[in-house]
Amino acid sequence: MAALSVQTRTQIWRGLMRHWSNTREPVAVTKHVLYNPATNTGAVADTDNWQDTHGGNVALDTIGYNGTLSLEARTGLTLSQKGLLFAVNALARTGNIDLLRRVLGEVD
Amino acid sequence: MASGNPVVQILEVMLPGSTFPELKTRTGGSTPAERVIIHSFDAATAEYLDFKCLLLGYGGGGLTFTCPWSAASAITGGVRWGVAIRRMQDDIEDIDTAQTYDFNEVTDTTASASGELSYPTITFTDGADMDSWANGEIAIVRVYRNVSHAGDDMSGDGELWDLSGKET
Repeated sequence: MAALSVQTRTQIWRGLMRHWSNTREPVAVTKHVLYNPATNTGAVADTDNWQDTHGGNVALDTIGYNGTLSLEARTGLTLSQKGLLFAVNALARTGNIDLLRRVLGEVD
Repeated sequence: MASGNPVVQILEVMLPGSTFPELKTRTGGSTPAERVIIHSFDAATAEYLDFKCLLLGYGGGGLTFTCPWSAASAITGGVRWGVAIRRMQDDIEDIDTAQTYDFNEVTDTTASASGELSYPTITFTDGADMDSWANGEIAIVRVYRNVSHAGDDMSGDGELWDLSGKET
């Protein structure tokens, strides 16, 4: 499948920020390091681009996910936060936004 | 005259008809735990909160509003806060008509821990800047988070605890 639309990436971005706000989880990156809808850049876009490029590979592929993230995101997000970002992006790529909603709550 | 007195009396906190911040509680660490009521401003959509206020004991100076807030989760970045005033003048201002709120704004850096407060101030000069709000009158004081401003880069919600205004 193609990369996710800006609209869906924005839903992921908003959903993650809302989730971390509700759980009071310290977030050490700014909102545009996480994602910037105006420029379609940031960790959400990087994650989706990585999954889009490597997810469908059938040949041996040893290119790590961490390398796709910006320095700020790579060092600022915790392992748990990176894991959640990776997971929710993968859920969004199934095309069923309700899966994402069940994990993050409302995603609008 | 810059009295320094707290001349802005908040009569009521009001949610606008749409795009208002979520009303939440923030649980403290004491036993029993504090449950602080806060207004949670989204990071991606501009949200607004109205205060019905009375100006009392005002001597003709400017006004300074203080907006204590905490971050829901972020420990870096800034929030762009704005305050605007709609004067409800006697037999003049009709609440049924639309008002274009003219916001004065400030960018404030989040505290170093998400449970800590920051106290940004937003100033108004006497006259048109504060919609010529006069002593003894009610006004709608509107607060918002300008999420599209370059200085507003904090991830997650900004939690407004209160609003206060004094003459400066």
